[in-house]
Amino acid sequence: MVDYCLLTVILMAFGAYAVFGGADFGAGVWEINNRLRTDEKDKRLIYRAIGPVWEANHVWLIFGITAVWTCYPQEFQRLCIVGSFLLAVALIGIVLRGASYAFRSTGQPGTRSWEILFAVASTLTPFSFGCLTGILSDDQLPQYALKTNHWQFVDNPPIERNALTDWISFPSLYLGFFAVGLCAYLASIFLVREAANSGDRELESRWRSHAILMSWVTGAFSIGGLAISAIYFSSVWEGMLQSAWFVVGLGVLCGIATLPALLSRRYWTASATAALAVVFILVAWVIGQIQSGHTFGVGFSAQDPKTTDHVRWLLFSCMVGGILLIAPPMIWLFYIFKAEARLESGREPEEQPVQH
Amino acid sequence: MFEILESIQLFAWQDTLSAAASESDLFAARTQMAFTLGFHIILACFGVGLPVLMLIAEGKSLKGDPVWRELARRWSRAFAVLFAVGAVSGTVLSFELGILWPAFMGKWGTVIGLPFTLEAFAFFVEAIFAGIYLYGWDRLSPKVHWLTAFPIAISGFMSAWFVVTANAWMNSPAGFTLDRNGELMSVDPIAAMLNAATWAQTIHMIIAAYMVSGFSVASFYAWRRWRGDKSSYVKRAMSLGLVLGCLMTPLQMASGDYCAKVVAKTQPAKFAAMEATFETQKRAPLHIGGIPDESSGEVRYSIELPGFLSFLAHGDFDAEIQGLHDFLPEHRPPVTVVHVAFQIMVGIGFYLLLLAVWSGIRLLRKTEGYSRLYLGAIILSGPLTVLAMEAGWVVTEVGRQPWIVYGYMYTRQAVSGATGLWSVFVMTLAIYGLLLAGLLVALRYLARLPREHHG
Repeated sequence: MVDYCLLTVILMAFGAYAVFGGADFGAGVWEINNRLRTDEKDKRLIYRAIGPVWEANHVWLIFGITAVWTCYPQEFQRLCIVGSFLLAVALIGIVLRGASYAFRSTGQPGTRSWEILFAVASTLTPFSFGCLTGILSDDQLPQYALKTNHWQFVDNPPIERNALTDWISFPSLYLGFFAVGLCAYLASIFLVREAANSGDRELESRWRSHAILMSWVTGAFSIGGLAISAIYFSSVWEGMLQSAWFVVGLGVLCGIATLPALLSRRYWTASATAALAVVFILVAWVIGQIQSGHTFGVGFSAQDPKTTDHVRWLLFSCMVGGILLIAPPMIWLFYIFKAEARLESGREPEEQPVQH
Repeated sequence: MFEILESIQLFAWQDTLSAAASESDLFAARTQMAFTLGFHIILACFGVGLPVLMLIAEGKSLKGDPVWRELARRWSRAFAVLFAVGAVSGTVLSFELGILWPAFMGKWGTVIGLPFTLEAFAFFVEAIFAGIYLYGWDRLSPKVHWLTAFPIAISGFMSAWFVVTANAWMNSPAGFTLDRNGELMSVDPIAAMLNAATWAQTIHMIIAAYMVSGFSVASFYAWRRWRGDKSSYVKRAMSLGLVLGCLMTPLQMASGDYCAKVVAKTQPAKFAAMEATFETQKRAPLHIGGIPDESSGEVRYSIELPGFLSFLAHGDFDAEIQGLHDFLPEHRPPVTVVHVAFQIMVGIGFYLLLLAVWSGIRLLRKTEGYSRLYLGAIILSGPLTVLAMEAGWVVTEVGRQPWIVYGYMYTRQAVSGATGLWSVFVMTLAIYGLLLAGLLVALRYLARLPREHHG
């Protein structure tokens, strides 16, 4: 019982990271495109959209990670061993992105190379997170066993392992690219909303066509993703079909609904359905993981519930209390931003956003 | 003490079973952790201390003073950059705990996870109100805007408190029992958070954060003054930073004394290393300065004050102090590093105390104008405070070795079995170099923006 409560909170954190952080990364991915054409207007739109939340969206990730290691320490330990290389690459992306964002926003000469670095770093992180989901879903996932505090490989017969290259496989690479695509998709839809808010018709129509294109591309990518899941990740796939078919269905419906919303210029609706589609996919994947016993399966059983259940209830109450604490100021924060957007619509910003 | 020795015997067997990571990999992981934590802690200090300065400056501007308002506003921009980079380096740390020390997290996550979760929420609150504060300058009434600075300062304080409790727990583990096989039998996360070292460490660190912020700000504006900027803007900024730093310094002395007493009780080996006490003795002398020679068990070039160490640790000149030789060689922390770092921290502490006294005297005499000597002393105080804070962490962390969880888990048992930790470290160095460059350039840019009020 408490496991499901905690899992819900953890999923909310990762869902929020996937949506808000994903959109941040996606805006960075679009920078690559910008670099090719160098449009000041596009650039300013992206800067302003990232501006309000800058790098603070990593709080979702930090919260999710601390929650996982508190609630499922052994699972976290295994995750860190299996995915050590990819996690390190994701980190490199996060750090470089932060550095180049701080640097280039000064507007000094020489920022061009920082802009390129920003775009590359923004791509690197979602790519490695995508690959990580691939490894974790793989039927050939290396088997580990807990032996006196250490997870060790229990291959039979033993296989030579190489942390640097083990993650490379067709499905994990595919999911890596898929994750980058999802980020770009989210970003394009969030940005068309921002562009519409800014009142610039030409900018809006340009990003609208980006968003529509991305919807089709992501749709095609998703069909491929489902096919790959069915072929390579059969146990997770079966778990998903058994227990989460309705979640998958909801995700697909939300994804499809985004397109008409975009076409009819209902950008808030489009943002919401696109975000929900991403969250539903994530939820379905986690349910599949649990059902197949791949991840979290161990966390559910390895520790004696008598020892740890009261700890988990305590954690859960802290989390609920914390969420109740942060919800009102968060709503206030978004309200202030929206007021700002209304204020600024149709005129140039007076100054560079202050947080740079 | 006896309990700890018992647990050492009980768990020493695990060591032979653990995956054998090489000494070199262990050292690489420790160096990387030290480097990234050492980087992050400076940013974290500003995350805790700068909001207090902003809050005071903006509070003083409420009666319509534009200079104080501009100060608060410009500080809030610098705060935003430091906070954003701090969020990034904090993300790195939360990953590193797992990537570098998987067994530590796997084994103890249930016991020690709670403060991390609470810290995440405190961080959330700080981030949200930082956003409101930054974007609310022209959108909220001055009074309401000023009030939003309070949650930033309070949550900064709380997140420091929570995260340091986790470190205190590593020094003084509590809140769990183990069965005969070393598996967790019962867990009490609240007791783990409120362990014997918690109050000493959290108070000492939070005051240190205020000192770092105060003296760094004072140091920066003293440099401006030195270069000839005699505006009231610079003078006020310098004074405010100095007031915060100087008020905190005597408090820090008192909390440091309390810390030493707690360490003497809970971690006698660390205490002996800090003070370079090799032999167990009554009327133990206090070594000021000096370089310990581990092979001969002597301290060279130091000033000895007989009996003072016993007095500092136990309030009695004749109390017995345990020496390092009482501990098995493999359970002794590296003496030289710990002792020298400790001397650096304490030495700088006394320098700052002198500066505080000097500033107090100037205040009483209502001295106007700044002599070069005084300005120079303030300029030095900023970097020195940072150095003292880093040295203090070296004492805490190196002094706990060879344990990651004192008495229960060796650091080498916790380290990742992954290969190539050195190349990861080199990469980390390069990337943090870039991060630092970005940070400094952004701060310099902000500092050079033209001021509206020249006061």
